[in-house]
Amino acid sequence: MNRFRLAALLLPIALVGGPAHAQTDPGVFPMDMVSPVLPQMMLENAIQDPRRAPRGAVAPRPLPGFRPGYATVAPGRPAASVAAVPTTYRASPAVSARVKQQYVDFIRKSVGPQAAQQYGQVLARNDHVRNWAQLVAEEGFHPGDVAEALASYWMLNYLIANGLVDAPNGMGHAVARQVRGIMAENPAFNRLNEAQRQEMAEVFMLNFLTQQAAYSNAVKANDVGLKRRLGEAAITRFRNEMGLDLRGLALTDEGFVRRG
Amino acid sequence: MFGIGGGNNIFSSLLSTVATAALGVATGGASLMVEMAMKSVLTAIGDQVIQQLGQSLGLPQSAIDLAQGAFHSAAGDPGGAIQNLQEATSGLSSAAGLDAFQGGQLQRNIQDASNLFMDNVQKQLESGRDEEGNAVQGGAKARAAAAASGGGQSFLVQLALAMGKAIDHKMDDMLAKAKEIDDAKSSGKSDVTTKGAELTAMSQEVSILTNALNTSLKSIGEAVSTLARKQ
Repeated sequence: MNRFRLAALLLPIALVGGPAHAQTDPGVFPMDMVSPVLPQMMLENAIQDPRRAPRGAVAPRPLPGFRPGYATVAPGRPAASVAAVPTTYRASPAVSARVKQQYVDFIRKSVGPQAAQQYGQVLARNDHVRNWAQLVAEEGFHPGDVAEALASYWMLNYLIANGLVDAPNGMGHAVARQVRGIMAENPAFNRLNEAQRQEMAEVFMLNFLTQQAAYSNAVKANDVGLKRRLGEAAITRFRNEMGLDLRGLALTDEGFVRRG
Repeated sequence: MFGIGGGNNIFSSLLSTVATAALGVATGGASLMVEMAMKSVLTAIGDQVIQQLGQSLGLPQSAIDLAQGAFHSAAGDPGGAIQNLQEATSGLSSAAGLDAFQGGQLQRNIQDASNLFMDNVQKQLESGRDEEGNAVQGGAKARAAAAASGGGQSFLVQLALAMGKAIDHKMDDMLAKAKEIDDAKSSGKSDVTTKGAELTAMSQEVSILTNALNTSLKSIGEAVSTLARKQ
């Protein structure tokens, strides 16, 4: 029978493996929750085929430029049960510091030591959470809610994948609501404690900042080739990690729906 | 939206760095997920070995817990939860994007590898050979059990540390294997099963994962073997 220690019910640890972990506090906490949680969530499951949509489902309003024929959003769980699964957290500076360190370690492994040094310097001088909050404020997102962090990450990757630089404001709440429903259905997510929710949220924020900076630079420089490659990377990333085809979705005021 | 096209991002000045990082298919994603899921499988095997060995040595559960805690710390997973092998394998299958057939195949491979590993550890500890490989009276297990009666659960902790360090040292290799899977997926090569062959052929991903785990278990086994000789 499975037994769990201390901060128990935790999923096995960490965004990156290796010695960096030896420096982290014991009893906390997994970053690779992104692994066991998200694939199981399979955002795909939250997006229904129109033929399976419940009678009376609200027809979503598509983004300009997309063909008609959208699927409807999955009805999700009743509001009460969704609300019963917390997605919010009170931020701890210690958790935030650990996330930054792990992210720098991840950059070291995935890009190189010089890049890691640059990231470390930037993160030492700046507040990544505040920066993320500034960039997503127009969508009504705030720090302290992992659902909003994932919603922003999903929306940004959708924009990148589809070569868009803008979308009508006000859809963020719908996507966050959709994400909350998905999280509420996920047993692995339900086991996360407050610190774990913060860590998961801040990983999404840092990934958001990295991808936003790269895409934004490409847009400013009108670098068509880089934009295309970033789009392909976003598509592959979401297909592998979440089982989603970002080019097969449309962002509507009901959240993401499958394009017809 | 989201300030795209603007410059209000703390990483904006890192032009080529953020581009490289963002171009990674796995920004905190797939290859890392596979890597960590592989690590979870190895730690689950280690947990199982420590639990069974501790019980066979007659150690109290508190001593076994202590050894498992040391094991997770040495494996770079301080405070990590003890996970059973089936859960860990399921996580790996999910992270690698395997289908049900491939997942089942992987599950059987890992269970076989785990059983073999456990048998080897038991044999190593019972064989009782010295540094030169000469047989000595009473195996490491017997000596450890004798030590345990004097509060010597340190043997199990040492074993745990050796296994944990071996796993931690394998992580770079595992990341490389995880990247192979990413590359295979990106190039479409992962879809190696065909209608006719899918029931008999092991997929490329399963093959990569199984080989990586077997290699890791071999090196972990060597660490255990060294410890057993010194005991």
